[in-house]
Amino acid sequence: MNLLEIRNISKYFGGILAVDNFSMKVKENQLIGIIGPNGAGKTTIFNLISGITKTTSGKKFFKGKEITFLKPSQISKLGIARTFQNLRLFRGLDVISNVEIAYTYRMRYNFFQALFWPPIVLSENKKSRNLAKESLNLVKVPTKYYHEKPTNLPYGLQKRVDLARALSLLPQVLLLDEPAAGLNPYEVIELIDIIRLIQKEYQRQNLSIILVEHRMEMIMKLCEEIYVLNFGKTIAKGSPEHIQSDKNVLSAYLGGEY
Amino acid sequence: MSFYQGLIILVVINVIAVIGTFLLTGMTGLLSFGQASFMALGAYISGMLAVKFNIPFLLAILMAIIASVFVGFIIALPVVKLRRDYFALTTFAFGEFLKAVLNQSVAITGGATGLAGIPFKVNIWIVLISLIIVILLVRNFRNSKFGKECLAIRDDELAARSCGIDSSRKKMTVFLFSVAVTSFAGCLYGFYTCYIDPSMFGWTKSSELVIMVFFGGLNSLTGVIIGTTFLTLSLEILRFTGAWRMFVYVLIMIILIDFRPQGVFGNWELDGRTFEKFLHIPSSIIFKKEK
Repeated sequence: MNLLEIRNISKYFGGILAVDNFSMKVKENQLIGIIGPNGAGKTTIFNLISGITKTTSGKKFFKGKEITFLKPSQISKLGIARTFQNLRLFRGLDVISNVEIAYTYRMRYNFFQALFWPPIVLSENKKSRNLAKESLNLVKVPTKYYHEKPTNLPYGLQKRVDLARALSLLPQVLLLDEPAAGLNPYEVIELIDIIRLIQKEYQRQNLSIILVEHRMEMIMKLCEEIYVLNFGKTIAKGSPEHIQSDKNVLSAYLGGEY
Repeated sequence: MSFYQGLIILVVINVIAVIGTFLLTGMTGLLSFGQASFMALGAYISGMLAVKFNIPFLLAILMAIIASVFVGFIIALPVVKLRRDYFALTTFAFGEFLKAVLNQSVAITGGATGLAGIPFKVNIWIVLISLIIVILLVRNFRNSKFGKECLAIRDDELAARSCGIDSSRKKMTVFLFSVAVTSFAGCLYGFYTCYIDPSMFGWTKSSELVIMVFFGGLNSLTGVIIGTTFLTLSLEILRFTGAWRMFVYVLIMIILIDFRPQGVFGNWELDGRTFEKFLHIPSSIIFKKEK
């Protein structure tokens, strides 16, 4: 069974067709890449999958159930987590609380218990803190930053906090929106290792990762299947070797005459 | 009762009302300009129960809080879906609406002449104990998952929603909690002054509550408590300046907003970590809290 299936989704912004008939099937334990020039509709696809933007037409399925009309919070609770291209960390919360946020919906205490702090609140809080520490540890954020505000961290680390936050949701599908944007070459190599590590750690949960990226080298190294977009259209799809020799892809990236 | 005791009671009631506003405006980032109307709800409902039906003090307060929360729920249903500026406008409109209703329904509330004859029940110990209870409850709320979720919604609602947080529902929760705390302050006010009229709870009172939250620190419960105490007292202290009182008050506010927009205390909180930092005492000794 497909973990996630996107069936012919389209999105119009006013009169502009941002995503045209995009389809995608994601199986368990896959690493899929989406590439394309600026404005190709990559991030829009993520917004459509996570429910932040409403689809104009088409359907989405998660584990065989339709999720087309669900709210972003419901979709993320089902197990589709995402990171953001332009960091959207919570500035008022420290790093570890930022990561804990994604776990709060699993914490089993209600409003009145939150007012009086019976033992269950303490044990649940402890559980969420431990999970947050695990996630932060996995993406290699040093312990000394746990109680800093995220804006005080270097950019590369902030991106990893964002990644840890998505992991705390205990997802089945992880959407990474340009995780390497703004990182220096050394940090990119580190990031590739981290993504591989995540994939290994979460193999038991059958985690699949979808990666939107500009950097060819990263996509080529990591992904087993690649979708290439241009002006909202899927112009090619297949293994890295296949993509590298595809005529349409070369012309979209390098210009018509090649 | 001495002048100073009376002053302390007023300050404490004000602090409770501002804590109620802090839940919405400080923690969740929803600018509420109708907060005084919830004080009015508490004061009027509990006052009328006591005056007309001779219901005992504590029971009247309890019933008033429940009734206010119910009214709050009905208002909140459409309001929690709104963005922050529209939220401010709608709550403002509700405040003025309630004031008009209280003014017009002369037969029930006494109209503009006010509701008199509320029994005098509140003394300094009752308000201080109330304050401590409210502070503890709000502190617990803030340190729980709900507090974190509120802050997350304030900072970035979109990101919060993609972290599995149902933002409308959380806003509803915090809105009702805020209504409960604020209307409790209203109840205490009614039983202290023994006389209430609609003009006490207009938008000037609402904006005063919001201003005090901004003054103390948007993200600091400690700041809100100290800031409100300072501002309420300073209005009394500045009394000798006569007509210049409001001018000086406004000047303080303008200087503050210019040089410290996050409020005097900003994010600073008096808690276990503060003791660790400045006194080198492990927080587990003072606060039994998870680390």
